[in-house]
Amino acid sequence: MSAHDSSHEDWLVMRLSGETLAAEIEQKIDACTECQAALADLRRLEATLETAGNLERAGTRRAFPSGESSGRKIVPGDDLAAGRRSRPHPVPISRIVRVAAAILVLATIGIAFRAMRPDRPESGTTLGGATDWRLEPTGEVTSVTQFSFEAELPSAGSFVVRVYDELGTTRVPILESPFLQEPRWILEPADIAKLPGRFRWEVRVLDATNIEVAKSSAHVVVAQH
Amino acid sequence: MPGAEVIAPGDLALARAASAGERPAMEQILDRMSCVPRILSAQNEQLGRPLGASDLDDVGQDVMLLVWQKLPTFEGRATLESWVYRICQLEILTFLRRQRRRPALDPDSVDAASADPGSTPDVFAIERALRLLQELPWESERVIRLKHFEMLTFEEIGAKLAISSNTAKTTYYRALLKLRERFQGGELATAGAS
Repeated sequence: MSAHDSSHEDWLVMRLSGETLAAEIEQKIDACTECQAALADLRRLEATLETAGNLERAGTRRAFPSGESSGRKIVPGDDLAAGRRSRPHPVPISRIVRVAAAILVLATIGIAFRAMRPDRPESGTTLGGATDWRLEPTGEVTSVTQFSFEAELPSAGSFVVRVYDELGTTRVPILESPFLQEPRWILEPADIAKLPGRFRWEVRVLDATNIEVAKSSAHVVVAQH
Repeated sequence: MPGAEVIAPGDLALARAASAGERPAMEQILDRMSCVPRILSAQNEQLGRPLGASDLDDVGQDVMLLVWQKLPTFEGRATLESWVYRICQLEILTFLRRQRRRPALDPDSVDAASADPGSTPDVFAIERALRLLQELPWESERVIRLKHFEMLTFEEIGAKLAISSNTAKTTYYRALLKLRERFQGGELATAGAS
């Protein structure tokens, strides 16, 4: 039996590719434990990749049911395009954000943050489906002087609002509120000056021991007029 | 076989402009990335909803940070949405692994026609394979993606890459062997369908 080397791999590729090998080479492959291990690994690898491919196609159909994303057609030849087939999607999140953001023209951010209850119909910008909390933008934002939201304050708990620059590359908030007892944070002029044109704001609901019990966030684009 | 075929030249130009700090381009990218919650939600569904809204929010933030960090490496080989889909996929699996949560795949999420009905795919083996796949030379990664992600036959792969189907086959199996080399010893023993 010869030692497993690159020539064995060449033979393996030839065998797998359906090429006819000399009987002597076939015998060498069959007798080589490394070759047999490689063949078993390749079978497992193919099964894993097959599942990964199935997942990607199914996931793409769920995420991009109409073959479009963010209003853009999938580019022909895009290797994900093959998996996209028409299927209705219950909540086109980007559309809801945009539509909602066009309703209200106010000097104050008008975003509702509500506790989701089982009897509430599912809608809005939830991340992850019908679970706990969500933020719902309710209007176009032209400037920001406060953050207000609807949420239930746990007994002896508090709220914390954090603001992140959406174009930033760190998870460090650019603004953070003190512990709030009311569902609003009125900004100081210095804070207002720090707000970029696009940001994400996040509400954390803390219990009496400052453990986070709920959290949600929403994106804001400050309209230019 | 081309070394760096650009499938989405418009997206590549956009990514380069955003990477250079051009604010309009950055804002366009941000608009395009509004698909991230949808992608994460869809992937979470496939995994049987192991993540709650708060977890998904965290993963979404991680994805957005990665988007900005990796944008200079975007090569236009897929649209931005396809590119970010894969970032989401790896981040969600990484999050689950860190949390030591091993979800069972939703059988409805996997095409029954090609899945082994008796198999129990290991999602972390899939994560590992996807991560290692990205580390392969582009030619190797591409032929594997064409075979398993686009479900092309070797004849179709050959036609697409302007090579013979036999060459497509040998390229594919050599790519598989390269992928195998990258797995640590024993990792493949539990990978894939058992």
